[in-house]
Amino acid sequence: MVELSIKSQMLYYFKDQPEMWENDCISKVLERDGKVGNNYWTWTCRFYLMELSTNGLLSPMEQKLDDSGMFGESHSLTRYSLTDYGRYKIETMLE
Amino acid sequence: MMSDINQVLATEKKNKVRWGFIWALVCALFWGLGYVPLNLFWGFDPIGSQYGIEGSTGYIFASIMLTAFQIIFFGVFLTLIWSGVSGKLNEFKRVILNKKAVKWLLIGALFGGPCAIMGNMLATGYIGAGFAAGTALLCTAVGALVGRVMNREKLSIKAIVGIVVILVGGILIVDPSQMIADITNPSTDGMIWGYIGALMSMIGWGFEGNIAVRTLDVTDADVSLPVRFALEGLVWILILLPITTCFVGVDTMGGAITDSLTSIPFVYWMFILVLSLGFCYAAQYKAFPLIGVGRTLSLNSLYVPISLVALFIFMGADLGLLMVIGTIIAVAGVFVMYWESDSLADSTRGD
Repeated sequence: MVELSIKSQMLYYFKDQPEMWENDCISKVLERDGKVGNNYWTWTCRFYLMELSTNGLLSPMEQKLDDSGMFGESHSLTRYSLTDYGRYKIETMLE
Repeated sequence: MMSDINQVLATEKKNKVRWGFIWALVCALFWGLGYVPLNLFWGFDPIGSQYGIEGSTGYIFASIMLTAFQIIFFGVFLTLIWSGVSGKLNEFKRVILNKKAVKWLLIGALFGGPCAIMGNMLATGYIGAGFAAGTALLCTAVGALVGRVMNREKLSIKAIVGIVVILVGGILIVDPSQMIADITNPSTDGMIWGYIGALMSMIGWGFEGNIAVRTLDVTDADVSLPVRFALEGLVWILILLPITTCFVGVDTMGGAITDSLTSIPFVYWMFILVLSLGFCYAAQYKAFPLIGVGRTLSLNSLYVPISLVALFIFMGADLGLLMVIGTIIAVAGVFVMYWESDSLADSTRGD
């Protein structure tokens, strides 16, 4: 199977774990690509999650102050859950 | 603690909205200004005058060549500059190797390029860039209707009212009495191709968005757009240009390609066109998650008045009163259709 692009891979993680805090999802994909600590990609991945949410594939469930240190204390963290449409996209586009 | 998170969320929302508006307006600006180079090509060698003046169907070959060059330049420069500078060439490789992603991008591209962009070229060549820009706005109505059927997108009462308003604006832009006069008047033989082109651009872009979104939903637009243009560029090089050669002959095709690529003004303006119309796509997809799809599309529709003003200032274009009024009404229809006030992160999809 072809290696998924970063945004696709982030969505795919929600298949096995339908609810996830964004820092956990981002850490996973950065680890896969060896980009842990890379500021540009960390924020790009955050943008990808926002895009997935805007497009209706993920739904924001809860927000809290960033206690993980990934974005800093002056930023929020969002817990996302996979929507039915997101599951449909995983099954039809990523598998 | 609660006030802290509320304060942070308020600041983040403010930043999102500010940047969303900036990207959406940048998109409208580049899109509108893009019609100036698009119009310029018809006025100088080699394509506009050398290969586009013989007979009533002469502009068809010029439109084919301009579309092909535009797509190929888009593919090459968007790939090299945009993906490369944003550090996403590896992502480019991953997307282009994903068969499902490529399938929908390619099908969407065939509606977008040979149908919509080519149609827009025909409308520009035969009738004018202002007309082409105005009628292209009607793709919003086509896209909403296709999206309802294909992607289960919401179609609220507001959306239906917006579509009706857009159609009223569209009728004024097209001006049926003028259209009938153009088509039936023997001295303007060939202008029907301009109207056919306008129809092609409405249908083409209406379908392209709905098909390509299947891939864009799960990929980075900074990557999938260059992939889309690179794939379509290959289709032009390997299939569409050879087919065209069968009709016009090797000499004409060879001459058009070499004369164009050795013309510094042509290459320069094609590069400007890529930077304007190509970059507006990228800006549009940056704005979507920041202020929502509806607001982005509403603000983007400002490209039409921007293009009309730019064409008037830079090209001295003669814009009819009906076209200007029709454009304003159509833009208002887009705002009625898409602008939501209750949420700043609206989703396009229904349940």
